[in-house]
Amino acid sequence: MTGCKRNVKDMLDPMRNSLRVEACPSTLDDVSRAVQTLVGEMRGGHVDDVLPAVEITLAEVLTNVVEHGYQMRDDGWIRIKMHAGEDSVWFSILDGGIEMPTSFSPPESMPDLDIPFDDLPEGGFGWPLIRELADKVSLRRRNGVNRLSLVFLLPQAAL
Amino acid sequence: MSLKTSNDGTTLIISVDSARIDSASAVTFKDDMFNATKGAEGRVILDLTQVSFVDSSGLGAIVASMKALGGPGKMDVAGLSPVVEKVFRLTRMDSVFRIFPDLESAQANAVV
Repeated sequence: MTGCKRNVKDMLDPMRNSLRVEACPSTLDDVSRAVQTLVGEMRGGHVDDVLPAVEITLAEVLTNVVEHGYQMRDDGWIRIKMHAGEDSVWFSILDGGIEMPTSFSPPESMPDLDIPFDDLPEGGFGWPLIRELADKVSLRRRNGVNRLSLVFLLPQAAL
Repeated sequence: MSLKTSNDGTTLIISVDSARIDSASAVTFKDDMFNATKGAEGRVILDLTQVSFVDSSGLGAIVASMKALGGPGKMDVAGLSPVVEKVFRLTRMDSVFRIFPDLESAQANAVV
């Protein structure tokens, strides 16, 4: 089991193109702070156009890991790697939380809203948002570690 | 979660004085909204001008707050930042709420 080195961070390289973070978020406040820190570190470079999508996606992913993967335990770890290329931003997010139950497959589409008022959904938006906002999403589990890869394509530079 | 309310007799305006409604603050926001709207009968405008970020948990809390008012069309939202607007649009909640660019235009459009 990988121990978590709290607050150990190798932040952005001088070119602002890559980032490695190991975090130990055990509460949703930790998640909120981690998302703001990550997005804040990335801001001001050539990836600004995709930061709204990145921020929403990271918030959904990290909330899922803490709430469902670690079920709010306080000994969880998350390792995040980011690389920003010319055309895309790539994330690899690893965690040691429980496996997603086989009975649950992340929903592909947004909850139906064409229903009676009292039944309007108050949840179920997370995974559809992730799928909508990231251009590629892949989730694998190996040796007890969940690995989520996300790719965000940068809009063509308006030259 | 800090909410500022004002009531002109027909409309209850609730301004969220916080930059984020996310998974960390959604439960508190929902509780505070229930308290702020308790007994409200008329229209409610939720002013999100100060809010720069809402995630799916925050959106769920906003929907729950509207449902607690007991009927469709009782709560409008105003002042959505680009990120917040994106979340409403992608989840199609822009078809459930009336959305105004700012509080002034929401107040100017009182007819339901």
